[in-house]
Amino acid sequence: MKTSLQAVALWGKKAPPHSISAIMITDDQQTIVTGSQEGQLCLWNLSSELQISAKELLFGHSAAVRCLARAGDFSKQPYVVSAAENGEMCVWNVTSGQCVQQATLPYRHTAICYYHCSSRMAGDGWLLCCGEYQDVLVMDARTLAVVHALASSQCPDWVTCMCIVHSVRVQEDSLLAVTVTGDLKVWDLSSAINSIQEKQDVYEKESKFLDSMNCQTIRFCTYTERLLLVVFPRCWKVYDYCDFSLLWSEDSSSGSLFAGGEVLAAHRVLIWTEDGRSYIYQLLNSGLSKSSNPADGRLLKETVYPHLLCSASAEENQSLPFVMGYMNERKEPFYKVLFSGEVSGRITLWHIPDVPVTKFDGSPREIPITTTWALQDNFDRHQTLSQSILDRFSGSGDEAGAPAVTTSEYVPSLDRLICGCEDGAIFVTQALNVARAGLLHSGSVPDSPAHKVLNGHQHSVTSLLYPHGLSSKLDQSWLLSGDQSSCVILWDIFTEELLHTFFLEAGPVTSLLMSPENFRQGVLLSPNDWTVCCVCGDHSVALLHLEEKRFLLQARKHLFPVTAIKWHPVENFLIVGCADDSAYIWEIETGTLERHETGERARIILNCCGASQLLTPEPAPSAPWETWRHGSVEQGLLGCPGLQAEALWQAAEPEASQRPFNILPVKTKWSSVGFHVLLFDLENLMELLLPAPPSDTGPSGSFHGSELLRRARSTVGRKTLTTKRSGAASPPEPQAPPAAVGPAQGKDAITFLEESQGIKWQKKTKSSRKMLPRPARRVNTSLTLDTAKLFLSCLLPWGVDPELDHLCTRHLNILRLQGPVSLGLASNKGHFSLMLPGGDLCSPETKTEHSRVNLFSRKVLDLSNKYTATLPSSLGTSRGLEDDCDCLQESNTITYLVSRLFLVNKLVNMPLELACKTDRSFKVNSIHNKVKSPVNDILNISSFYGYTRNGKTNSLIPEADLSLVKLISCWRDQSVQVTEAIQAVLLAEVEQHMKSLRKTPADSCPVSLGQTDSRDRVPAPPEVDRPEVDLELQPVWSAWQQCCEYALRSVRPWNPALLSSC
Amino acid sequence: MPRAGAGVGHSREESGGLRWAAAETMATAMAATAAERAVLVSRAAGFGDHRTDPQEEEFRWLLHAEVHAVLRQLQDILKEASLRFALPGSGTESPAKQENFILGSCGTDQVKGVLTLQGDALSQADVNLKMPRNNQLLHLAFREDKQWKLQQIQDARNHVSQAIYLLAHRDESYQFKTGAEVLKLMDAVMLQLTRARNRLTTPATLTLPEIAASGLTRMFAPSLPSDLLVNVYINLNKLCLTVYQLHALQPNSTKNFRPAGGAVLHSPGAMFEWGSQRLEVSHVHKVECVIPWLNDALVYFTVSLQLCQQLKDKISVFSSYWSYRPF
Repeated sequence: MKTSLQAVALWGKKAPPHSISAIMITDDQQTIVTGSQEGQLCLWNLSSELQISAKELLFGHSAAVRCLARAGDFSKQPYVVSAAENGEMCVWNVTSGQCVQQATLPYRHTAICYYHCSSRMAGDGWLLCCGEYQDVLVMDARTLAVVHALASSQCPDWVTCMCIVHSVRVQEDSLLAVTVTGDLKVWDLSSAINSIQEKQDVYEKESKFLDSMNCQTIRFCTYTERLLLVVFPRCWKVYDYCDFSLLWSEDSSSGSLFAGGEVLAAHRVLIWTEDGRSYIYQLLNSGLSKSSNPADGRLLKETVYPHLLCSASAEENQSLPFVMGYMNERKEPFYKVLFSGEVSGRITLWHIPDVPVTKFDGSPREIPITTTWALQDNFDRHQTLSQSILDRFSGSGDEAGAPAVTTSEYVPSLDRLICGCEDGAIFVTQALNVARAGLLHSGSVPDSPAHKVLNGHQHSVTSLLYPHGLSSKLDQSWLLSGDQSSCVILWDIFTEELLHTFFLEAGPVTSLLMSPENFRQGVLLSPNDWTVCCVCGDHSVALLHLEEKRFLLQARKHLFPVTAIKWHPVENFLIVGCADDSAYIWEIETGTLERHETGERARIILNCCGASQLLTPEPAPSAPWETWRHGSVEQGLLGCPGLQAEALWQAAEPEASQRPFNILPVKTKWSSVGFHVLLFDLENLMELLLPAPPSDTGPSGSFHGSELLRRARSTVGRKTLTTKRSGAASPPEPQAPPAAVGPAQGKDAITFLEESQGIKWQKKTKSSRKMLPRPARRVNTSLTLDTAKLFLSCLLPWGVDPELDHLCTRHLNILRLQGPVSLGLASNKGHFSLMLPGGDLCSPETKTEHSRVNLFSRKVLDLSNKYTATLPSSLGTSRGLEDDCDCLQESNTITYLVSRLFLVNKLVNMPLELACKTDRSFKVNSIHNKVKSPVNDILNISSFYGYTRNGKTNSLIPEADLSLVKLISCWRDQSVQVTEAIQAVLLAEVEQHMKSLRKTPADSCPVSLGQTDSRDRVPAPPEVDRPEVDLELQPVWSAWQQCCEYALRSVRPWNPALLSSC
Repeated sequence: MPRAGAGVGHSREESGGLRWAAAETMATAMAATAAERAVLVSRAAGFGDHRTDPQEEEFRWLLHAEVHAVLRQLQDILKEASLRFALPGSGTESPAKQENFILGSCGTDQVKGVLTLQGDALSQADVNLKMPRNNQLLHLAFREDKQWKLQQIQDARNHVSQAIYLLAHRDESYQFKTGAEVLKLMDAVMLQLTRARNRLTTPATLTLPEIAASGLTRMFAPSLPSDLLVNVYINLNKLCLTVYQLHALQPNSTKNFRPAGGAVLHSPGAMFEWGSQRLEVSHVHKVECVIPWLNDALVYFTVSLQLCQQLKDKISVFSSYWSYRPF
């Protein structure tokens, strides 16, 4: 995931499902972290009044989250580690929502303990893990590498729970662990630290059989340093830590299963059950008596018996199971909190009194629920913005009438969003308009943007396929849709004509797949024939021939969900792999089942097809794979991500790199709730906005650098520089032909006809690769500008200064938002966080000010002021003079703003190594006034972008930019979040810009721009300005290339993935 | 446990029959719902009366009655499977009984052995190896004080007990409220069962240095000669013992040294580096023996996986129905 990609989530009315499977509260008691069966983490804000509100969703795991744990000293690093069902582990920074470290290991953990012994260990401490493997693993908390294992000499088995015992008296740490079969094992941690570091075998010190299975929790009473609480599903027991003799065993009375427990205080324990009930017991001393365990009869023992003090229970009528936890903080502002998470995504909190007592009559007191909050509450409460993507398009226009979107597909080449609905209708809309309608203030956007409705399905649409998106050889008018009642319809997307209906009669069509590009059917099909593969609800697979509109094969004997489909072209076989590891081989010609294999042989068959370079339905990294993931993963048993966002996210990458704007539909597992994510590629956006580089770039001078850069970029699947260079080879072109620009800029309804013509023309030119970039550029210029405006709308803090808002709307055509947007933040490949509706209102200070929309945090204003202070005041006036053409000025300003944001984004996201270097060289720089390379990089970049500010190049590095870069680097060190930094800079820059407008009010902009149709202004040719600009750009451009080259060289040893952001 | 019991020993026929039955049920279910949906649509249009909705009634029956019946059956099968693994604490409190397995291969009789299995651990081993070079008989035996845990069996057993635990609290008194809930439960159970089965069907692929470093080589009473390697694993229903005879490669040997990768069974000629020596496998002897109760367990896994999938399919038939209800 490249860092220049910015995401905005368009949530629906319903919250995505979040079946909580793990829960914890961070040490500062400000954040609740939950993990879900769908594979996401959710961060909830916990206020000092114990009010909960969901903040953001973290994506990254592709399987259910099994456990969460602290992964560092929380006061220094707010890190939490999560482990998933499939062995993935991630370390998250829970204040920023970024993934710090990730690893996938062949170990599935069920519990993790963080251990750090400052006196004896250097480094970051260890994660002691247990799970579906023998004994205990020791992992490095920072790198997630396996350090060593704690072994057991007797009966090694899976460990289900553990706890670290720190004895104050002897200053020794030990690890208590209980195996599945009920063996309690004790490892001496303090003395083992050296052996572990030297990778010597470490065996347990003691072992004791506890005579119960599936231990849930083991806890050591730190108050008495004597008692040990062990919770089993059917009973909980108290042991004496000194000799592990049993002091008390209490069976489950109500028939519910115990799930965990905690020691509240000396002789006071809290036990909770799987169905959300909890009990507080006082352990009363029964005086000296014979030990309850006859084997230990040699000593007279104190035994204890429990007395129920209080109980608490969650709301009735809920689904099992609950995951609960207890947080005991004795420091003042903190509470004793018992918390529980439910499958429905609800969190309940109980504030446990410091001294729990019974009622006067001795009966247990009921502790009331302090707070309860569900993810859905966030969506209900903050419904201002989060509208379903289609709400504005429901034909009748009434509020309630919008049908739920069941499936959707974004077609980048047409910029269309295709949505299949619950009622069978298929909407085809212009994607940017949908996004604008969804985000921007109503009234400022045309009411009913162009859309088409394809009516033909009687039932809910379950899958969509746009074949042209997978292979350019296919007819681009084709659209395929499958529905709940097994109908597959072939549409002409331009004429809205229903071309053919296939009736499969095999349950809902769960996914539509395209056969691989060079799929040859030998005898049966001519080389250019294409087949579509439909996977249906009854696990059958149907092959459809699109051109001839007929069935080829319907394979109906699969018992388990289909996980893989492969073609064997030579012998004309279709090989279907199922979730139970079996393989079915179908002969396509006759439609008969040739062979059915299970187990090892099936695996070999499926593998050998892939290995011998035969064709699979997922050869390309783009959309076929994406659609495939939809189908297979949803049904797939192993490694099934709940929300397919991750897969989509990754799949979208190659596409996203080519266009500045993209929409990702996100499906959810076990439910029909879905949402959309808008992706803005800052880098790409900027490249498209910037004018072409100078015509006479010396090839000898910059060839090497550009070559390097191109190679680097091609590794990430991008060829932006080729675009640039081929653009450079030709004389500066006019910005856009009026015909193509007019409709988009005017925000009028674009007819499909026009568009399709444009596309066809574009397609023709596609044949020569060198020609491709230019047409794309032309068509997109105004669209790009619109995209940039939408992006800026999403980022601007509206309502901070009403006058500023007004000026923005008027002069820059940046429209006001309906409400706060849900921004996404990507941390690395496949890991990102999405803000939830109302997630920005978590901090109490912003909650009060309703007039402000979309201010990420209070910090932004301060940062912005600081930034303004560093901005040289002279710039404002100089910029005021330049506006000779409104339209050009508008687009220039927007380009400038975007480039600034790009720079800030890059600076804040800069990897630590580079950052350190920069800082060091800053010092050098200030002392010796010697410019070191990393600084130079940044300065070059900044000055390069600085060009756009006033259309003139300053070949000298301005002092101001240096200080700005310094300031932003400083923010990074203060761990200011990227979004905050970006917003602060944007606000400051816009303010600065508007200051000049305020100074020279009406003269420079004679016509009110916002109100009138901007169509006539648009084609205003910028040629007048351009050559001059281009010429002046040249030195900067080559400097830019040089700096890129340098960056490549310096960065390569650490992280090749970084290149994308350079 | 009559229903599952019938499957033992006739695994192929049984699963085949199940497959056909399932296909038929599926076809009828689909047909029925298509018709019902038509009724549903007409009713919704005509009367708007949702209470007499036949599909809702059917779905309710499925959630309240049928699901529990299937879960009951599933639990029975899994209980039976877990008995095979002699789970401690599952009724049989006595230490697991010892079973002797005589290993042999259909080909040569160079290796003969008796392995004693006690639950998930090998407690005794008696292996006689006829050295091919000098026809000398080599006797290998376990140390008295040590047992060798068969990790595969232990993992399979633990996975089954996890599955049982997942089902433990879902008896008739528990009300399923949504289809998604059942699907989630089934997914979790199937995950455990698939892992249990895969653990038995796919032995670990080890490299030769890994085999040499494993604790198994230290299990023998007169310690293992340096030119022998031993590996024990489960493959499907069979307990397998492989003995590798090694010879050292001369340092100046013209042979191209290429260390072998991981494999379940290495073939003669595989090379590896151990310590400072380069070694080559000269002979491989593999002997095996069927463990009947592992066969049973595998059949139970397959049957219960099919049960789970069928239940999921039944629920999915109503997917258009349940997924739009508020959670």
